Amino acid sequence: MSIDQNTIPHLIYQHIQGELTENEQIVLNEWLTRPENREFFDNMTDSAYQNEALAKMHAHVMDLENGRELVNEKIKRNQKTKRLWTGVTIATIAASILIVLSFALYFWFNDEKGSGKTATIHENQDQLQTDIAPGSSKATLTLADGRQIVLDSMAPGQIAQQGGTDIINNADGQLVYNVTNRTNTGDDILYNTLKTENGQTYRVVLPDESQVWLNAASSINYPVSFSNKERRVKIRGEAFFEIKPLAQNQGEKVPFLVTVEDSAGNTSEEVEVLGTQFNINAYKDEKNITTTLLEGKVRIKNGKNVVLSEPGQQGVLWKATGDIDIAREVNIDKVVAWKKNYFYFDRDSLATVIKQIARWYDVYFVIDKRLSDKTFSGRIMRNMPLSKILEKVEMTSGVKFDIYEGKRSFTISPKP
Amino acid sequence: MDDNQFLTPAENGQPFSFKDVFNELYPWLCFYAQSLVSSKDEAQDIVAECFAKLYGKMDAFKSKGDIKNYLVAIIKNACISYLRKQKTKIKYDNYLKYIQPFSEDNMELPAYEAEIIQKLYLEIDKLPEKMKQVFKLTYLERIPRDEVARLLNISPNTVKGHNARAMELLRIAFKDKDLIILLIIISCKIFKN
Repeated sequence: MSIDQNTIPHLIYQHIQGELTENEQIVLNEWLTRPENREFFDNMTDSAYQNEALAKMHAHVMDLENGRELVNEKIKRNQKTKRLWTGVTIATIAASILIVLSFALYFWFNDEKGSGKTATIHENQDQLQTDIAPGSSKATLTLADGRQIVLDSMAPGQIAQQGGTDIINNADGQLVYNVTNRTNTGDDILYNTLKTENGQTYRVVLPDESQVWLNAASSINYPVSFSNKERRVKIRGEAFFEIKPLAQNQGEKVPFLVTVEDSAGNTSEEVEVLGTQFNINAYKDEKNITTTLLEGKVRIKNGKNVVLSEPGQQGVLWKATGDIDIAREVNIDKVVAWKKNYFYFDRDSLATVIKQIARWYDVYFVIDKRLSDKTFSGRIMRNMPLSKILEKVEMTSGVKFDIYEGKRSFTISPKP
Repeated sequence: MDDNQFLTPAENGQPFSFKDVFNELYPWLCFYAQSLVSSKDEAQDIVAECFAKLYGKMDAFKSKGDIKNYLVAIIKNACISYLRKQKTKIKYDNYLKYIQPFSEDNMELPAYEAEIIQKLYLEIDKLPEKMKQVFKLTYLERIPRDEVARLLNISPNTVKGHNARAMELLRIAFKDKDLIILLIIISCKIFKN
C-alpha cells in the first residue's frame, strides 16, 4: 500500500511524541508488518540515517552541473544514434562513441596514498604488456623549396644550405641555423618549418641564436635569415623560447614577434618579445592560449586586447571570447616541466592529464564520464614506457586502464 | 550555441522547461536511484540516461507531476535491469521483495523518502549565508567542529551557536509544512546537536 498522507505520518508523529493511543498503536503495528513500511519507519525515525541521507543528497546537489553535462552528452549521443540508421559510416559510429565518452573527469593522485594500494595495480598488467616507448627527439623539417627531411638524433651533420645559411643537425636533437653570408639575403625571404608529431620533441637554434624548444605535436615557421627590422616566427602547439637580445646598428632593439596560428592558419595571438624566456602553450584542443614569462617582458595581443606581462606571470587568452587575463603567482616549474622531460600535475583534471600523456606517447584514451570529482597531482618522468605511467596513475587514483582497440587506445574507467 | 539542451526555453508553451524539471528533480531522483543500486556514480548515470529519454518527449506531459511519475517509473526499471546485469543475485532478490508490493502505486516509499530528504535539504539552503555554511560543513561535509572553526576563522563556540540557531530556524520553517517533515525534524537528533 502507499502511504496514507493523513493517517500514517500522523501516527508516526504520535509515536515519536509518545502519545499513541491503543487503537492508533494497533493501526501502526498493522502497517509496520510490511517489511518495506518497517524500513521506511526505521529510516524516518533514525537520526543517523537522516544525517547520512542529507549528506548523500548534498553530494547529488553538488553534482548538478556534472549531471547536466552528462544528460547533454547522452542526448547528443541519442541523436547521433538515430542519424546512424539513415546511413553513416562505421567511422562516424566510432567517432560518436568517442565524443560521448571523452569528457572531462577528474581524479586525485597522491603519492602517499599509493603505498596501501599496491596489491591492486597489476590486475591488467597482461594487457599492457606490449609496452609503448616514450616520445623522443625527432621532427620533420620542411625547407623553403618544399623538401622534407626527417630529423633525429642519429643523423648529425650539415643537412642543407638555404640562402647563405647552413643548417646543421646536432647529435643531441638540436637543429642549428648558421648565417654564413648575410649579404646573400635578397628580397626573397626563405622560410623553413620544423614540425613535431605526437611523441616527438626537438630544439632549434634560430639564425639570430635564439633557441626554441618544441613540444610534441607542435611546429614553428621561421625565415632562414631574419631581417634587420624585426624577427618574426609562427608557431602551433607548445614551444619554449629563449630569445637573444639583438640591436640594430643605431642601437635600437630588433623586436622578436611570435605569431600563434590556429588550425586554419589565422592569427590567434601575437606575442611581442621585449625580453628573454617564455613558454607558449597554444594547442588547438585547449580552451586558451597561455603565455608564461620567466624572464624579461612580453606584450601579448590579439585583434581586441593588448596586455603587458611581467616575469612569473601568465597571459591567458580565452579563445572563445578573445579576452586576455593575466594570472599571477604561476607555478613556473609546472609550465616548463615538459622541457625538463617530466609531467607535472597539480590538481589537474584527468582530461588535462591524458591530453599530455596522449601527445607524448601517441596514444589515445576513451574516458568514462562517471569518473567525476577527481583531480590528479604528481610528478612523473616522461622517459619511462607508457605502462609505468599508467601504473602510477592506476595505483593511486581509483581508475583503471584497459586496452580499447589495437595497441594504442585505452579506456579509462573507475576501479570496480 | 552548441546545442545545449538546457538553454532551450520552455517548450510548446508548457509552463515548465526541461531545465526547470531537471534542476528540481535531479538530486532526489539520484538519491532515489542510489537507494536502489547503492552506487552514487551508477545512480547518476542511470538518472542522466532517463532524463535523456525524457528529452524530446516533453510535450507528451501535461504536468510536472506526470513527468515525475514517468521518471520514477523508468528509473526504477533501469535500476532493476542494472541490478540484473550486475548479477548481484542477493541484492536483486532483496530488491524485488522490497519493491514489488508497490509496483501498482504511483509513488513508492523510497521515492517518497527521497523527496522528503530533498525538501529538508532545501530548507537548509534557505538559512542565512554564514549559518548555512557552518551547518553544511558540519553536517553535510562531515567536517569536525574544530576544523570548521579553523577553516572559517571563527571560534568553535560560534560554530556551535550557528548550528543551534540553524536548527531552531529549521524547526520554525517546518511548522506549517507536512506533518511527515515535521516529524523528521523532531526525531532527527542531528538537529538537537
